[in-house]
Amino acid sequence: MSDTKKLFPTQEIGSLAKPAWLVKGARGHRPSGDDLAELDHWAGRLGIEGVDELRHLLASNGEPTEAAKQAIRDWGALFAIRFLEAAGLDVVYDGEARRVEMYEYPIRRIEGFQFYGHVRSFDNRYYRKAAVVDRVQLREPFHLDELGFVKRHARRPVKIPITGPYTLADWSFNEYYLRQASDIGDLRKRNYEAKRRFTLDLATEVLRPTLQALVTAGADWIQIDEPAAATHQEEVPILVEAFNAATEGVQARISIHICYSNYRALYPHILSLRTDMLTLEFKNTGDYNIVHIFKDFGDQRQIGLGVLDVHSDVIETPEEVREKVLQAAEILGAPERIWVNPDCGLRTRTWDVAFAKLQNLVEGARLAREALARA
Amino acid sequence: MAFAHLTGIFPRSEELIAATRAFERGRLDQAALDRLVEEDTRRLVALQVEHGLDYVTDGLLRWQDLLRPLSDELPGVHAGPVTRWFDNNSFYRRPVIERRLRPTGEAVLRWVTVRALEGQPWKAILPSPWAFVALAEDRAYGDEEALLRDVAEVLRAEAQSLVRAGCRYIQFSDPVLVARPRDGAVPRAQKALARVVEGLDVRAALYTFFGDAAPVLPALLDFPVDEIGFDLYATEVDRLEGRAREKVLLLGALDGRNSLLEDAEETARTVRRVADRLGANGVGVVPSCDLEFLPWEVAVAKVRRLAEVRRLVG
Repeated sequence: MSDTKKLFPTQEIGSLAKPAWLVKGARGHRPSGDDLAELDHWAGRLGIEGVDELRHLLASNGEPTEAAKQAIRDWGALFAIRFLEAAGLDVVYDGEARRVEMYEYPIRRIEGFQFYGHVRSFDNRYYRKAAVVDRVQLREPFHLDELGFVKRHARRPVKIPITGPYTLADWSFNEYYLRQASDIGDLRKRNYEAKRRFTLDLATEVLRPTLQALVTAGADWIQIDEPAAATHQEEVPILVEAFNAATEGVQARISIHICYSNYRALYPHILSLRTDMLTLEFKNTGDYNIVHIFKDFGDQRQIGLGVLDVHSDVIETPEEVREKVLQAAEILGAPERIWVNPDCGLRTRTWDVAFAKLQNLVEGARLAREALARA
Repeated sequence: MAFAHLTGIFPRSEELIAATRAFERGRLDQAALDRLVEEDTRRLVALQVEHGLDYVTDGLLRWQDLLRPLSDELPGVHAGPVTRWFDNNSFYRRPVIERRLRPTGEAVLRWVTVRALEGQPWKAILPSPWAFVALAEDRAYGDEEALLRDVAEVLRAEAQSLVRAGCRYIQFSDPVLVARPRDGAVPRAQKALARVVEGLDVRAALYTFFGDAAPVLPALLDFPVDEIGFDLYATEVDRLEGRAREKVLLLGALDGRNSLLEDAEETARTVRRVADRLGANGVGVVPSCDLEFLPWEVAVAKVRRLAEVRRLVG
């Protein structure tokens, strides 16, 4: 079991920025001199050897073979593993180095979806959104190869993240299940029921077999990402029903990651969600008193406390992290239930910033541990 | 008599999306981007004209969100943190009000592509004063009532300048009243909007979305505007009460947040049923919200379907 005995163990949450050499190399483009200098810089800093082979792969003329692209992605994953280990985290993964992002990657591995085009996230940022046009069906369980690679190379315990059924449904257009529910006259009720059927199918037909396959492949801790969890308060029962259906019979430690949400909206339904830990963003809101909710509702599960703002280049100090951890521990009255992590994945930060933040997170957790030992 | 028009930001075409990305990366200059925006706007205007929409909009293609022209242009206000836009997987930048507001009357007009609208009965869209206040961060007033009064003056000046520029219809968008209801909100919102439209020579509408309008509809029907609208995908239709009297009802009958094209016959029946229930003489068939939650191609198909539903409603 990937756990640690010490107080305030630390974990990463999700994706890291992809180095330019990885993005370009995986697309068959030749990295620039600056990109290669960055590669050398981090190889040295992380003590990664044998990068001549990687440089050779990146320098190839013409379209690289699929095997070469795969090898470049392997290197990308290795760099991210070593990055998280070097920052000092107790539990690591590969920074999701192989995934386009958390939505499109799994959707492309499920039958029944069709991509139409881009929609705006905000400003001039967009994402590709798919519609479910037929009943969902898993092509084959995904993330298995990447898990195998991480397990072979990581020197620390591993936790694999995977996008949850509710978020996959919420971020998609719902056509097929809406048609199936056309006998319901009220448009609002029709939408709800169609969403429920869609999410449950994703849970039982896609997530559950994938989670089971991951366990068979050696996963002992799976983090299910549900950033959309509290988007529609009235649909929290769907989130819970689908999450429990997806994890039914899955013999692994399960955590859920939720961010940028109104956590109060999740209660009390989320108390029946079958998870060992809730990892949440706190630093962004600055409201660590939210920890009170867990106490108020008698929620006995572990908390992954977000202490790094992933949208800011300001580096949180170890002392600030220490204070936040101790504050949460005091509110909760159960320090042994607190893990320390960034609010979310650090993909929007440069590696320099992300590394400094994570180092301070680790040091802050250590200081909190020390303070509590002295008290 | 049924009308039809659009109610919010229209999605950018794939070409324009690529151009905005190129602009962000410094590979395209502002002038080139502006040209492409105008081309897309003209294409959208032509689409609306072709399908006989009663008022045309420029699709607000330059707007990054409903509040941005005000955030970017008003002295003492800036576009602040990225914040979730209601229950969508999309975000807006919360306006941060650093100083007391003063009306300029020039903020929004600069963001409207008037050239592409000339010769057409065109419609402008503004946030309602209540929505702007609720969605902004106040660092200057510490007194919501005073802020609301000043925002109403700001929007009044904006509306006046739009009318001078030829605008025939102004929609005040307000998701807050229905999606984030608060005790005492409706009369305060009504009073502020009344100040904005007082003596204004333009057809005015209040359009609500993302939330259930049923609990507040009777009160909304007393707002001093010509048209009142709500989102049929968020409203418990069977609980709707009130009499529309001389007001036109804007019914958000095409889902702006889902790609499935509605059955035109069924949608027309729903529109008639709601209009009858509320005793409306005039009804406007509109998308439930901005169509920007859809890819461009799907939004275009929704416009075509909108025209079809309007024809069936008669």
